[in-house]
Amino acid sequence: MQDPSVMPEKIVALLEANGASDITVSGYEPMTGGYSRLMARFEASFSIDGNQESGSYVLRGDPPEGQAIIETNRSQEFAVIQAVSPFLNTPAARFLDADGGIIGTPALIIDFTEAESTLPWIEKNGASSLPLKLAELSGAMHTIPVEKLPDVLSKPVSGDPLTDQILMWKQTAINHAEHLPIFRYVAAWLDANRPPSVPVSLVHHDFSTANMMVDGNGDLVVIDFELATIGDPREDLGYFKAYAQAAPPDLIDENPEIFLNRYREVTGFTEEQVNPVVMTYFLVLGVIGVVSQISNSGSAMARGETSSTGIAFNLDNLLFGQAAWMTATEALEKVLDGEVK
Amino acid sequence: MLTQPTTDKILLAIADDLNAIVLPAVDDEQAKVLLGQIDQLLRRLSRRSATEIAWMVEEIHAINETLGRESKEITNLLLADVAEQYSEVSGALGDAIDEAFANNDEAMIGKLKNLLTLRIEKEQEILGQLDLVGRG
Repeated sequence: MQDPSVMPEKIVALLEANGASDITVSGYEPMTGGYSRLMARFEASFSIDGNQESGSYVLRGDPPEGQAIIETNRSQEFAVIQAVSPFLNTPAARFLDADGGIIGTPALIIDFTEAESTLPWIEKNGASSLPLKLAELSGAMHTIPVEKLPDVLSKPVSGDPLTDQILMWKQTAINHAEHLPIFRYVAAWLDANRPPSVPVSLVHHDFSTANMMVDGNGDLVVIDFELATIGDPREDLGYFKAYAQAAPPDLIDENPEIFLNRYREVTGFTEEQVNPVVMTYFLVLGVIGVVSQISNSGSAMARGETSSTGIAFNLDNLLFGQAAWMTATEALEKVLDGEVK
Repeated sequence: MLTQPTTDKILLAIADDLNAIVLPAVDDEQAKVLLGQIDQLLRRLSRRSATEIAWMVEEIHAINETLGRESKEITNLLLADVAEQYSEVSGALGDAIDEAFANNDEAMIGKLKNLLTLRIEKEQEILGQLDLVGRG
């Protein structure tokens, strides 16, 4: 996917296989920022279903075997984007090479969005408008009817997303290449301090400014659904806050009241179900999806099954996380004990 | 064996050269991201290599003492062997945490949490400043 001399021809073949004709592909250029997957932008024009199309597109594919930071499935990602794009501000998924037979690696093509990365946009425009936009975006994502989502999305095995997530904390601690007692502490603490439940919904699982852009209307665009599942929607809010600790700003903290009021309005959740304390609880709980993937890759590297700088680099995120999770449980204990409000 | 300059100093020198000499000569964006990650990793490895065996041995004794386990003198200081013992006591610490929460034993939970706090202090010393280079 990194070779601009061969990729246009492969993209033409993929489009042809999907029924397109009169195809031209140009300006193929690898992009940075995909992090877990390889990405490239290109221009294309083609006819499909009797319509003529032209524009910019993004090819998003798996890195070479053994180099992936996390293992996810392009077919699932394609299905999720197709299901959620009618409800959300997200670029549409267009074409899929499920097994990589044409592109050389499993890959999908999505529309290119004329939008700016969130952090540079904030540097220029400030963040004051974004808490409300974030509430609307996350609220829209968390109210997509579950029956509209692809069946392939994993659902809580136990029937209760909190139980599943806590179990994942325990399993990650046990399955890692070495024992992780801080994970065991966090799991036990989360189990002992559960908040009131809410209905399950789509959970993005990497809901952060890194996976958002701001379009010309000042609206947030959400991308990258490779880790999506069905679970407790508040996991995304917690993950957003956790990520913002490592890569500020925290758009929720910019104006928590505006964010929470609008989010409750869109979702119908009560103040007991979503409040700052509950968000902090999920700050800890909600990161386990990504954390377990990082742990799996790190363990594979420890066993000599794979090797990459990216995997080693990502393991350091766990060190940052361990400190953040313990600090969060301590702060929550004080609130739950009534020491602070 | 030449022990000077020590491993931590050599790793730091490599990181400095990569940053000052190699990085400005690189145009490819993905290679720049990789160099940024390598720079951070080398600096952390420098701090870690200087102290990790001593830290693990110290923590093994502290955990055993808190759990009331016999703490034998560690004579084999090969990194892999010490790391194995460290993982073993970490597992015992995890079991003790589960048991303390199951029994709602707040005093024990507090003691075990102190051990975790000490571990985190050391981890933060190794980690230094975290820059999520490569993420948008």
